[in-house]
Amino acid sequence: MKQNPLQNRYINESIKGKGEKAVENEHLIERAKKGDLQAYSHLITYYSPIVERFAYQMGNSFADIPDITQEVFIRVYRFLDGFSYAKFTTWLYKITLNVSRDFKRKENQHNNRVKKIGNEPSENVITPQGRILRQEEDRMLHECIQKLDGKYQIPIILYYFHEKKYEEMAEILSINLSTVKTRLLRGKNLLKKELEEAEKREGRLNG
Amino acid sequence: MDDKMLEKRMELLNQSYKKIPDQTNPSDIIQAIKQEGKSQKKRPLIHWPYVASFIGVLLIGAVLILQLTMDEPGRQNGNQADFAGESDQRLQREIEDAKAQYELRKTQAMERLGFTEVIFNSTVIAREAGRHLTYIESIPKRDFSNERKVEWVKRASEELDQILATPDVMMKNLKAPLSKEEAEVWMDDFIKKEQDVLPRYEDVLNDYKEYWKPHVENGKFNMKEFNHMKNDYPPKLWLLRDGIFNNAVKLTYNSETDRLETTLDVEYFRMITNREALPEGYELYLITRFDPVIQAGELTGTWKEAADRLMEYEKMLKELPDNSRFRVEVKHEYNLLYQYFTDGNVYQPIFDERDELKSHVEETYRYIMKEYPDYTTSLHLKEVYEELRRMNFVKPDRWVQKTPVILSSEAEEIYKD
Repeated sequence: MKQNPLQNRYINESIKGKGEKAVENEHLIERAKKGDLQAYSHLITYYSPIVERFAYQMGNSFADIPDITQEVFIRVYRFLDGFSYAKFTTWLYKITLNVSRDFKRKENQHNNRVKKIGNEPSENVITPQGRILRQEEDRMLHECIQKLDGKYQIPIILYYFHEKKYEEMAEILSINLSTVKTRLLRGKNLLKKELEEAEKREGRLNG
Repeated sequence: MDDKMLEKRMELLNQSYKKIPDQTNPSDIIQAIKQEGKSQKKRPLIHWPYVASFIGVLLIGAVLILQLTMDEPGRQNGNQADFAGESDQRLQREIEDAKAQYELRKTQAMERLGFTEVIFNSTVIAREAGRHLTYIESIPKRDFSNERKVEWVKRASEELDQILATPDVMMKNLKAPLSKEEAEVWMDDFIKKEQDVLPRYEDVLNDYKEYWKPHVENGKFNMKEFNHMKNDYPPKLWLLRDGIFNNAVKLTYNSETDRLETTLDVEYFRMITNREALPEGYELYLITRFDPVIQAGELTGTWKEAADRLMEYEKMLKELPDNSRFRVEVKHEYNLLYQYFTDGNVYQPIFDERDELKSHVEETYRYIMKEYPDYTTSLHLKEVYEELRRMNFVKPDRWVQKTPVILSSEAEEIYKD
């Protein structure tokens, strides 16, 4: 089968496109470091989808995502002077992780108080997941991921949904490389088990 | 479920995630950034005094003295089988290696902190490392086998690494979760080192006033602007700035003293370190240590912030073990702050001239009862509140309030049993 003669051109342009974007972002970061808020605004436009997705994947309420994202970019701006481009995304993920944890902690405190005064949230309340993830299977998997302990959940998210390599995960999480690999493997096994049980509860068989 | 099926499901979920609409409006964030510097807590007038620490060296000395006095008889004159010349050379090599390591680590520490040699030599870190090196050099003079001496030199060299580890190295190496015992030692070391370097940065920075003063706007120091002018600064100032950033040092301007002041940058610390590494009580302790709510006898922030801090102290007292070296200090801070809520202080009484509870203090009581219903402190303050409410919030003639005792969780377990 003859290869499409344009294919290499498409591939090269796609790679070139990525390379150009990386160079552009590097310049934006340098300008933002010098106080150029317009440059920083462009960076926010580019990176905010990543931050939003990561925050949501970690189990934050959809309604909290704008607040979390705002806090992330405020903190990133504060520490921007210390970043090189190569480290920028690592910092972005680190900060998102920290802000997300802080928000979750506050939310847990609130939920504990709500339960205490007898307004226990019903297990059957329809969460907004239904409006955000349309497919039942996706919702189920998303909820199974939420049930994982944080130390397994985060490597799973970074690996599958953000294509992070082990080395970058180790930097983001401030753990050793071997610990990343162990947690990823264990997390995958736990997730499979969780998913199988969820499907059984739903009355489905999945081979 | 096999791996392939899981991969497929994850891929589908990933596609669904990418379809979720974005919610961020960059201009809102830019606006928030512009507003960021405008509200800031009042900076404390009193610096944290730094105290020279000899404990590490004393401990090492004590261990060695114990070894000397408890050594087995008959070995004091060395192993007869040693080939004296060869083992002497080995000992010398180890000592030379230790000295070379000392020089290397010292240079690295200076670079990491951004200090000149003169400034670095004035730190406790440098003095302690110097004493340790003197001890290493004195080992050959001791009347023990060379084998034993080599062991001591190696151990002392490892301790040199720890002594010369700067705060940034300590933070980066904080990866695996620490036990409470390990956290005690780590925290003590980290705080001492930060307290050692913070005043040095202040003193040196205030020598470079002509460079940073132009970046004080409306009584606030604009760190970003200061960083922009990098190329105009002397190299030593720029190295210093790198040291400040990497070692979690935060700069603020004190308009009353016209000086830049330093404290721990807690946000940076939390960003750099593995959040799972320190047990919760210890992380809280670090945060509160460098961000006091009471200075010169008055609250540095709002009553609500003081209320949050009071609860944090309770949490710490529950988390810290009974033998924690930080417990006494936290207990003292807790007691003092609790009394502020029941009795006020000289500058901020809680009752007005008609002996009525001030409205903002009453609000804070209600805030505590609502936000922290499970806390022991909250239950006690609720009783205080009820007592005042029965008197229409007028201070009774006899007004004596006791501070609750907060037990550690390990003590609570014992009492439960």
